[in-house]
Amino acid sequence: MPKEIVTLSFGSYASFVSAHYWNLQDEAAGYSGREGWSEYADCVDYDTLFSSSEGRNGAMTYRPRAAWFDLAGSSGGASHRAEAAAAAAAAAAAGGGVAAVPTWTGGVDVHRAAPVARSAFAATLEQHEALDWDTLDEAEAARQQAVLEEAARLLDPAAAAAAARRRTGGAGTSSAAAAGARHWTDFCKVLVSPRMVVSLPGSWSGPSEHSLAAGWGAAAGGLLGGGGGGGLQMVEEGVDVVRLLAEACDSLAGFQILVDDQTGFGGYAAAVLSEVVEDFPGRPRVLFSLRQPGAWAGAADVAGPGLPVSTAQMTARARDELSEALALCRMSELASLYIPLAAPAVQLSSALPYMSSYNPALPFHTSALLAAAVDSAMLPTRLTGRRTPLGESVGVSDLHSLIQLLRPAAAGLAALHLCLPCPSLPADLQQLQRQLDTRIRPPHDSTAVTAAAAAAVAAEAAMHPRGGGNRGTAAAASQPRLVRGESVYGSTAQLTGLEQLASLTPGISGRDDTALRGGGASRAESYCLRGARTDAGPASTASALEALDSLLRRRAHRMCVRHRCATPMPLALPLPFPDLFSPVVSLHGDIMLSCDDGGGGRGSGTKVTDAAAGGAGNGLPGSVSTRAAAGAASASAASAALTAVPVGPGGRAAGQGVASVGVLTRLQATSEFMGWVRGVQARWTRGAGAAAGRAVLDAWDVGRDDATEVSDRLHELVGKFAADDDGNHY
Amino acid sequence: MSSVKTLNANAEVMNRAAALFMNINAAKGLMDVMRSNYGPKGTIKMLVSGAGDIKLTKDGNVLLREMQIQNPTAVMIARAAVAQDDITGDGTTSIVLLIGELMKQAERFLSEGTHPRVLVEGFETARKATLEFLETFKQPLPTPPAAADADGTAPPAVDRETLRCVARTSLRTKLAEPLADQLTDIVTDSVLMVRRPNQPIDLFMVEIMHMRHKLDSDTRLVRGLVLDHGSRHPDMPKRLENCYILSCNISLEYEKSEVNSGFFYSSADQREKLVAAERAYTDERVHKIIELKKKICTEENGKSFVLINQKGIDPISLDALAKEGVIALRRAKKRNMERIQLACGGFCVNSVEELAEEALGHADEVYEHVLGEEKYTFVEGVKNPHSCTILIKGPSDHVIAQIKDAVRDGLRAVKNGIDDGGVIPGAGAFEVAAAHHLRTVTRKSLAGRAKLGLDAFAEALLGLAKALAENSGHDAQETIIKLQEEHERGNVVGLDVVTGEPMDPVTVGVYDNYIVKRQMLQSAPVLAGQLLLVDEVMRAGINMRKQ
Ligand SMILES: Nc1ncnc2c1ncn2[C@@H]1O[C@H](COP(=O)(O)OP(=O)(O)OP(=O)(O)O)[C@@H](O)[C@H]1O
Ligand SMILES: [Mg+2]
Repeated sequence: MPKEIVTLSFGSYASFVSAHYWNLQDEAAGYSGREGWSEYADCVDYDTLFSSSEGRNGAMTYRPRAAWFDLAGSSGGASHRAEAAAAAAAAAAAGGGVAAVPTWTGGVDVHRAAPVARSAFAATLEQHEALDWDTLDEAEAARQQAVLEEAARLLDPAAAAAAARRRTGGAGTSSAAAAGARHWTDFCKVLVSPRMVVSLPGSWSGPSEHSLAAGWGAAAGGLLGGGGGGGLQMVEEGVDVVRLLAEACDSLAGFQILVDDQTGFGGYAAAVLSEVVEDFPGRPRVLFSLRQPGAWAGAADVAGPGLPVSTAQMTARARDELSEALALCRMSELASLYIPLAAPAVQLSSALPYMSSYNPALPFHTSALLAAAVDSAMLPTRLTGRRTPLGESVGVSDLHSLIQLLRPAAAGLAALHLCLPCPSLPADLQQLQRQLDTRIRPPHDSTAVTAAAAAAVAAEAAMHPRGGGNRGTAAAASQPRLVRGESVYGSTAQLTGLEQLASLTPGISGRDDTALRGGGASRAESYCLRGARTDAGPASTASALEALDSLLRRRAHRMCVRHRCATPMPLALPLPFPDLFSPVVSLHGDIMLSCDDGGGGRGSGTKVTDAAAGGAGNGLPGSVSTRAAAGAASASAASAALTAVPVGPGGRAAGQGVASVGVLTRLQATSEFMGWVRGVQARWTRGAGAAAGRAVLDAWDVGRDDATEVSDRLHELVGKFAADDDGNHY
Repeated sequence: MSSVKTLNANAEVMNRAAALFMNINAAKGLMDVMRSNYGPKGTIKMLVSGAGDIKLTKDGNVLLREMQIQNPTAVMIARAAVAQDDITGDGTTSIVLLIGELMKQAERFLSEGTHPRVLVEGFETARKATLEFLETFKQPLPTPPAAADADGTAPPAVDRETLRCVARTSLRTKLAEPLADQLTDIVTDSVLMVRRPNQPIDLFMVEIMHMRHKLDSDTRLVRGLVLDHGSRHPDMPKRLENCYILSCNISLEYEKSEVNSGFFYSSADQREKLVAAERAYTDERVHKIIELKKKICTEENGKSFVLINQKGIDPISLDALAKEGVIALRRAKKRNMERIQLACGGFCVNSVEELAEEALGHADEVYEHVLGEEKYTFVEGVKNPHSCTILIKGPSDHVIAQIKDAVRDGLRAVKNGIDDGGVIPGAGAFEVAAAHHLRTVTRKSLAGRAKLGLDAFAEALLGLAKALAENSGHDAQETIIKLQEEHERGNVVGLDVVTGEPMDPVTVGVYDNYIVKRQMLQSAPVLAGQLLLVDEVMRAGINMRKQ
């Protein structure tokens, strides 16, 4: 039965999204070794995304079935070469005048680029990898964990800047640490096989500032063989890397692809993918077209009305307009499903009401959000039938089926909508009662944490810094001790309607009222609701589905094909996931409405809590990458220290992250795309008609015939919608 | 490299004199960066990235790629070098030096008031004359007596010894001597192996593979293939001898995904039936292959069976094949399918209906090699290989990469030698002879100031020989004079880089490719001319900046 999915990321922003994405996978996989969590974590089939192999000593190593295609320099201080240390030594020796090049007897001329520092997080991770955790005493283990947590906090540019300000007393914040994560390797915690990181020639200074940033055709000369210089070789290498990944699959289900397709990476990815399409017929390809926040379709003109526009601005606009159309045409042909994605451009929008720290200007933040959305939306394709105390996953699907559902509805275009964290589901009292009656004690039931469990979690997390649930370390213990029955109906924010879903697809609102205004109507949808909660804590999948259905029934529009999936495993947030959440969001993702209800602490008050200071004994293996180091679990009582910690209304201590959240996503194929494609078409026509646009196309090797093809394809796309409307397909 | 980076002027608004000045400086600047690389005694460049990764190169082309060149003039020169590499695979350093020298020589005359146009005309005359002279300087490959069994099925015989010299000359400019000498035969023989009658030489049929190995550095020629993957079944044999090789492009996996989806079936029963039907379909194909195997691999002939598939093979199919003692590989590289055919014989089978003994190839042995996390499969001992593999083992990625680059250059040089049907004596011999020819013969046919351009051109050619001398630690002036004197005695002379004395490159066996010299002579003076006639250049420069 086809199952494995290969993930490809093309681009520097894509690398960011991909790194966050794999952190999420690694975190979730780590949960399967945690007490209380394993059955929930095992709802997900990790073999879909990870390949495992047995080493000589019998230890298993897990590697993402993934490849990164990015520019040289984008990996920063991380070397993907195995023998980097030896190489550095050789370089040093050569610099010192000693001939250190075994292959040459003549002179050696050393040119050294300024060294790029790795993040403290990456460095600490590597040190921890080498530590023998079994021999560390509790205090040391806890200290090590604290070091890693601190390093992780500094990855977030916002948090790092704040920390630097505190340190310097508000003075200059120019220290390197204040910059936060600059490269994807600064925060990626999965171990990536060096062969799977393909670095393309070019120059790089940031996820959106690099030599391929200037639009779709930016790779035309160098990478695609147009201007000679081994370009075709890069395409061939790309294809070969994909083949190697596929070779490791027993039964490849298909591909998920993240692409900065409004940049030169789009052109390169298209060249690679067209071979992939040929080599793997019948293997669906879901493509996420990544854009910068604010790159919304129909964005306002460059200058305000009446203001003069410079040539450079004209060219820049032409590039954007032409890239959008070229990417859409080429990629939608190569992909089975084309999903344009951009994180919301405004902070604290109604779109993300519980993410007060979200900063749209930070790629580190926006890419994390997109990764969480992609992870959840595709979750139905990698679920198992595992039973849990909260029921088994419902709506388990596979890549092929998901695409079959969505593809015909809107010419292969789909939008992605997100609710993160997903507010509590409306549950009637009877349902709540049923839930309270059962003797289920899920680990993420905030009201059910026992001292022993908290200590165990803390101990285990400390032992396995790479793995799941580091966020829970002190957190679990700081949860107020409540009796289950004390939870009060209405104490958390409720999911009252599906319009609470924020759109991550530029220009596709997905809202019902648009349909009423004739803007479009949903034709096919796939919902994924994971780790759903009610006021009384985690909800069973059956009641989650029931609640979702009742919301769906309220949607007033014409017929629509629908797939719903509910699974008990919430989104587990890894350490490097930025803390975007408002203080009202609790450790496990409840959104606390009031400050002095039973569910949380007092707004700015101080609570005396047990802060577990690490536990003794061996924990369970932490994460995919370190599962190998398995030892027997024998958590003994943790030594608890009494500490005063300020607690937010969400019940989290200051500086303490959210461990897991419920998420609702919707993939939607909607006729709203008709207007969307028309917009692309209009901008293309304008761009390609203008002098600046023609010059850009020339430079990209897009000839007149190619341009005509693009126009035709856009026309054809629009036509598909029109035909469907007439035929009243659904 | 800083000399290149600092030449970052804004070309758009420059007046003509300043622009000319900038062009000359950019060309000289780029030459300065590359000059020390030139020849067998040049320095190697070690580029250390911000992450500490190393890149070793002595190759002009690689170096140009690694530099972030922004100056528009330098970009134009770099493009000419890239074109040189695309067309010939060599001579990128030479072409940058020649352009730099031409500009440097021109500068002298310009400062004395000569108009650029005059120089450019002289360049053009000299260019044509030098190209003509090149034809006379070319030494045809000796033709060995045709083999007795020459019946058109084998490519015409070529002189291996001369080609070995070409390979060695090329390799020694990139690798230390012992290593270069070790690779000489490997490189020469690989090209000779993949030659086929009446077809252009396809160097893709020589695969260059590498293995990183802490202790082992060694390069060998595998008469056959090395695949970068192994079988995916624990019970499959790790080694087989006397093998039939079936290469095919047939899906041996159960892949009809729609069968799995819950959406489209009215009943579980219906779905079950479809699942079974699809499985049976896949199994059928596997059984056809096993049937063939059973038929042709008998106890008497002791043959075994290897399956190399471009498509997938799922665990159930692997299991069935493993039970029959077959080694089965899945998802082989497309190009390897072609290579198997050329190495082992047989042909790639696209459907089970085509299965037959005639489709199969042969190899003496097929075995798996495990190295750390990586697996390799060797297909060796093939009858008449028209495809082979050069396997490089080395301690580190950067050393492997450097050897790979050198091997590629060597292969290209041997292929050029065969395609050209001749070679050019190297070690500066051609440059010295051509300069002499220009001054003594061509100059006579010119009148007036056009001679100035010709003189500059001749001097620039000598600049290459001087660079060779300087890089080997000899005094350039003195060496050149010695070479010229020896040449005037009527000998073909090159520079002995060790002693600094004249030597005969033909006896020593230092040969360059004809096509490399020709391409360089065709393009370098033209570009230098454009750079001197600065109005045109500016337009080109602006064009380039736009991208
Ligand atoms: N053993 C030798 N003695 C003297 N000269 C030699 C010897 N081997 C090679 N040469 C000369 O060295 C020159 C080639 O040097 P090199 O390969 O470094 O530069 P290139 O071919 O111009 O550029 P690249 O190989 O970097 O593209 C040729 O002119 C060749 O004749
Ligand atoms: Mg050379």
